[in-house]
Amino acid sequence: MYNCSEPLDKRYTVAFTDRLAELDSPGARAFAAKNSEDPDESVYALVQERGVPLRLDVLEALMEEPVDFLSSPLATGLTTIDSPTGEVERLVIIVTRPPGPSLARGWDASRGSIDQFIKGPFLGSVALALNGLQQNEMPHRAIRPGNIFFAGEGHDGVVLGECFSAPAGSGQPDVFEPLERSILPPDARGEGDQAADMYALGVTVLALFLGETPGEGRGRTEMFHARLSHGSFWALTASKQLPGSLSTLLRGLLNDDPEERWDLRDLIQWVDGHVPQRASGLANWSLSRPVKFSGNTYSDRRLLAEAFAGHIGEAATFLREQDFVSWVQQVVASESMSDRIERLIGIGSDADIGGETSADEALVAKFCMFLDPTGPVRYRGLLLSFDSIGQALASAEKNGRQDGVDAITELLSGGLMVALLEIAETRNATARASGDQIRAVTARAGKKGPGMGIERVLYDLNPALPCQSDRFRGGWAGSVGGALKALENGLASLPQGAPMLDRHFMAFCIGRDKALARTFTALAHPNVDGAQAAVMMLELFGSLQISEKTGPLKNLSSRLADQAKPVFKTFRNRRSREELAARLTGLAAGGDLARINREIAFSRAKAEDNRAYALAQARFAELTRLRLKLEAGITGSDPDAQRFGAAGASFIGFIVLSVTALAVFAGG
Amino acid sequence: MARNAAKKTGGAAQGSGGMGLGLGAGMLGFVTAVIVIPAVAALLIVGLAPTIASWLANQSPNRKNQILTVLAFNLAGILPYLAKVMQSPRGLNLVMEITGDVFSWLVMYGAASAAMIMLLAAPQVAALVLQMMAHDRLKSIATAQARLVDEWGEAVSGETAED
Repeated sequence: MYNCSEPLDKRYTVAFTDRLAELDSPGARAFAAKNSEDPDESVYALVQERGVPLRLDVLEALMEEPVDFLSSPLATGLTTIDSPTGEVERLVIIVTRPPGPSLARGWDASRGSIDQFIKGPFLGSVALALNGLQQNEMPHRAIRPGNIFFAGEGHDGVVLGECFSAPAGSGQPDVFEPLERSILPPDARGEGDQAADMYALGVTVLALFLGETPGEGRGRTEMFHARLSHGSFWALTASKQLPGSLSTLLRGLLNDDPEERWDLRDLIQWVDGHVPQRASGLANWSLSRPVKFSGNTYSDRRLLAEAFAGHIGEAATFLREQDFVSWVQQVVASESMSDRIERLIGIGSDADIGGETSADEALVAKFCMFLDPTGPVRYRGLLLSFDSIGQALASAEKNGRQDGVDAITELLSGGLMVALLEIAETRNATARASGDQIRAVTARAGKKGPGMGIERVLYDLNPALPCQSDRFRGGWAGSVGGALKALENGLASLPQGAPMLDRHFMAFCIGRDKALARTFTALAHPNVDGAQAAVMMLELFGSLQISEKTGPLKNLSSRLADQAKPVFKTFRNRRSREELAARLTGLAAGGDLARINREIAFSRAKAEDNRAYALAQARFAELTRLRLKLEAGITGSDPDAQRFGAAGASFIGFIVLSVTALAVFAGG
Repeated sequence: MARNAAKKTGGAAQGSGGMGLGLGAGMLGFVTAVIVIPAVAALLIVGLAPTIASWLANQSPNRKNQILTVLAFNLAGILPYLAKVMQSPRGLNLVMEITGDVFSWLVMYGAASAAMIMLLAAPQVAALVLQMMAHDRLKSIATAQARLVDEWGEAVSGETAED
C-alpha cells in the first residue's frame, strides 16, 4: 500500500488509495489528489518512475507559463512513500485534472455530429493548445484519443492531457507515430517535432471519425509495410468512406514527408474553410532495379534496408559479393555513390569494429542507413533514431538489458554512430539537429575514467533522469544535492568497506556539475589510497553540503571519518595523530562535513606537520653537533676559549691599570 | 656566505673605525702633550713602544681585546715614571735620566711582557672554565633531544628508519 509522508507544497495531499489508471503515463502512475487550501481545485498526482526520464524542459516551461486547453503541472516535490518494496523517495507532480472523460471512451451520439465536433470545438481547442506549445518550440508528442479529454460542463471543446511525465512519444500506439518513428520501440521514439504532433492529430481525427483505432487488428510489421508501400494515408484509410473535406484534412496531416505535411497554419486555414496549397513531391524510395535477397524481391529501398537488418550475416555476405560501387549505382540510380559515402560504408575494411560479427553488423548498419537515411539506426537488434539514443539507453538501463547498453556503447565509442550520422545528415533533419550532441557524447562514451563512459552519456542525454546508482535504489536523486542525500540514506544498508561511490554516482554528479570532474578524476588516481580518497571526499562533499544545503549527513561523515583516520598515521607528530583522530571522531557524529574540513583542515594540518618536522630535525641535528663538540673537549686553541681568554685578559689589564693609577696618584 | 663575509668585513671596518677614532683622539692628545708638556710626550713615545708594536703587528680575531690588554699593562708600567715627570720641573732632563736607567726599561717593558704572557695563558684558563660548564650543557642537550624523539619518533634523529 502506498502512503505519502506529508502534503506536497504544504497543500496538496495525494490519495494513494484512489488510483486514476486512465491518467497514467509510461513514466508515472496517477492518483487522486486534493488541495487542502482550495477544495474546488481539480487536480491529480503523478508519481514518477525512477528510471524513466521525464521531459524536464516541458515541465518547467509549463509550470512557468501554463498553456490553455492543456493539463499543466502545478507543483512538484519529493515525497517519501511507503511502497510494497519498502520506503522509497519519488518525485510527485501535481497536475490540473482534465474535467471530462477521455475521447477514447468513444463518441456519445447525444453530443451531436462527430463531423461537426471535429471541425469545430475539437480542432479549435487542439489548435490553441498546440499553438501555445509551439511558441515555446515544444512538441506535445502524446496526442491520441486516450490523452485528450472533454472539457467540463458549459464548454464543448477538449483539453490535451499532460505531455511531460514520460519520454516523448513513449505512450503512443505505433500508428500514431509518423512513419519514420513508428518502427521504433515505444521507449526510443525520440523527441520529435511539431510535424510529429500534426501526424498524431491526423490519426486521432481519423480514430474519432471511425470510432476505433485505425489499422486495429493488423500486425505491427504488416501495418508498417503497408505504410511504407502505400503511404500512411492510404494504409490507414483503406476501405473507409471519408467525407471529402475530412479526406483533404487527413491527406495533409498524414503526409509521410514531414516537409510536406500540414502544419498548424494549414490546419487553421482548413478550419476556416480554405484548402492550403502544398506541393506533393513524394520522395522516391524505389530501387531502379529490383533486388533479390533472401528469397524475396525488393523494389523499395526502405524495405530492402529492413530485410538486410533482419538477416545481418546474409546481408553482409551479399554486399561483399557485389562489385559494390557499380552495383549500388545500378540499383540506387537516384543517388550517386560518392567517395565519401563509399569510405563511410567501408565495404573493404572488415576489421573496423573488431570481430567478424561486429564488422558485419557495422557494415549492414551503415548500408541500411544509406538505403533509408530517414529511417532508424539498425544495429545488433537495436532500433533508434538520432534523437532517441538517450531514451533507448535509459530504458535499457532501467530494464537491466545489458545487451542494449553494450550495443549503444559500441555504437558510440567505436565511431559507428558518427559514420551513420554522416551518411544520413544530408537527408535526415533529425540527424542534422542532433549531430553536435551525438559527436559530444561519442567523445565521452569510449573513455573509462570516472564520470565518463556510457553512464555519462546516459545523464548527458537525459538531463531529467535521476541518478541510477545502486547505492540508493530507494532514493530519488534529481540533483547533486539530492544524490548526496540519497547516498546518505543508502549508506545505512551499504556494508562497511564497500566502495561508497559507483560509476553512476560520479557520472551523474559530473554531468550535472562539470566542476566536480577534477576531484573525481583525482580520486581514481592509482597513487591515491583509501584514506586519502576519503579525505578528498570529505572536502568535496563538505563544500557540496554548503552549496546544496543538504543539512546534516551523519552516515556519510561517520563513514568517511572512519576511512580517513589512517591518514593521520602519516603525520610525524605523535601527539597530533592522537588529537586529530579523536577530534575527527567527535566531529563526525554531528554530520557537518564542512565543519570537519574547517576544524581538521587535513591539507593544512599535514603541511604544518611537515614543516614542524623539518624544524625538529634541524634542531636535533644542531643539538647533536653541539653535543659532539662538547664531548670532544675544549682546548686553548678553541675560538671560544680564545675569545673568552682575550676578554678576560683585557679585563684584568684594566684592573691592574686602575689599581696602579690609584696607587701612584692617590698614594702620592 | 657572501652576506656573512660582508657582515664580518663590515664589523671589522666598524671596529677599525672605533679604533681609528680612538687613535685620532690619542694623536690629538699626544700632539697637545708634545706642545704643552714635551717631557710627558717623550716618555710616552718611548714607554708605549710595545703597545704600538702590538697594534701594528696583531691580526688575530681578538685583536681589540689583546691590544687593550697590552695597553693597560704597558700604561701601568709607565704610570710611576709619568707621575714623576709631571710633578718635576726638570722635564726632559728627568726623562733622559729615566731612559738612562735599565730598571726603568725593565719596569715599563716588563709590564707589557706580563700582558703578553697573560694573553698566552688566558685561553687555556678559559678552556678549563668552559669545559667545566659543558657538563651541564650536555645534560640539557640530552633532555632536549629525548623530548624531540618522544614527540616526533626516532626518525627525527635521522639515524633510524622512519616509523
